Amino acid sequence: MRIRTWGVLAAALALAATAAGAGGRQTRPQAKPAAEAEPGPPVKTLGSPTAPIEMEIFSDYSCPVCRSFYLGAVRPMMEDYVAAGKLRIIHRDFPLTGVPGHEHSRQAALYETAAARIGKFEEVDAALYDKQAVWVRDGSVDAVVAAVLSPRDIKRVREMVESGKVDSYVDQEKALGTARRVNSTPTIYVTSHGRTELVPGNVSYSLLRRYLDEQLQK
Amino acid sequence: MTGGRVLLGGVFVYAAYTKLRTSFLLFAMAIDAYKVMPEWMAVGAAHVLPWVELALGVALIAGIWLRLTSTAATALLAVFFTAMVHAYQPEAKEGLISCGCFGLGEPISGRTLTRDGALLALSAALMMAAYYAARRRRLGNVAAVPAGNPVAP
Repeated sequence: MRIRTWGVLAAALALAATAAGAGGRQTRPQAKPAAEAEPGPPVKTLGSPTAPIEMEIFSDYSCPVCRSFYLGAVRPMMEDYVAAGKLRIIHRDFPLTGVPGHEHSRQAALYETAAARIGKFEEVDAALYDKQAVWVRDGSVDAVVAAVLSPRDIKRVREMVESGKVDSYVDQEKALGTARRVNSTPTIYVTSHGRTELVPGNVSYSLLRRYLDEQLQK
Repeated sequence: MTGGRVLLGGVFVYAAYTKLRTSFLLFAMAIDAYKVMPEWMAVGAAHVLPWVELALGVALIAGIWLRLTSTAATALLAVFFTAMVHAYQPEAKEGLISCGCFGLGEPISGRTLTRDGALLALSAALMMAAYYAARRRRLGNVAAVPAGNPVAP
């Protein structure tokens, strides 16, 4: 009896050990997901770097004249010149902090810069100008940006904004504008044939087109 | 008034130079930004104005046709100054209109208004001096004719 009992116990132990071993072979421990790679610097350009004309625009997302310029000139230029490789547009943030009506300008710039770090500049740029009247009034920058990004992307953007990881980029662009004596928005510099000229911000697209065509013909 | 005349003439020549060394379309855009004329007129003005400024400047420096040139300069400056006063936005930080006086990059401000106002005053003074001098010359000619003799036509 005693031998039988020990035998049963040994068999049970053997079976248990076998099951544990088999389970271990069948179930590999799950590998930890790879950490998200830190995004690179923001890319806020539209168009080819080899385009013969470069347009640098210092702007504030709360600025109505900037919005008019975006809708009336930048959008058509994207179709007429950027898509054809004739023009490269560089966006520079110049939030007019401390100016009434521009309370949320910096936040908009931070969100757009964070989005630019993950390759979503164009969508957020358009959304901020399209919905300017809404978020300037009620500060709903996050909601406006979230509406055009995937849940994963808005999560990454929020994390960068809240952790302060994009503050330095916005500060650098503001300092660049200040060094170049930008004192209002939009301020537009056009560089072609090695020469940089200042273009009026409240310019009609028809005149701007003539100017760009003239530069291309040189 | 010679110093004032040469100074004003030099300002006009420099203003013409800053506009002629770049595309006339930049000046056209600067004029158009004032929104006081249709675009085609702004383009026409951008073509013509720099040459008018250059001609006035040279004539003022040379001291020729003073009544005509000082009157034209005063009229031109009066038009510019009126447009600048109309477009002046003292508190704005958005869409500031460039003066366009010496190229772009100089928004209309208290400083530019004071400067251009002073130029307008100088030009007006030159104009009055030119007419006064011409009147004195005419009166001097009349006084030189002996009494009783008819003045030649």
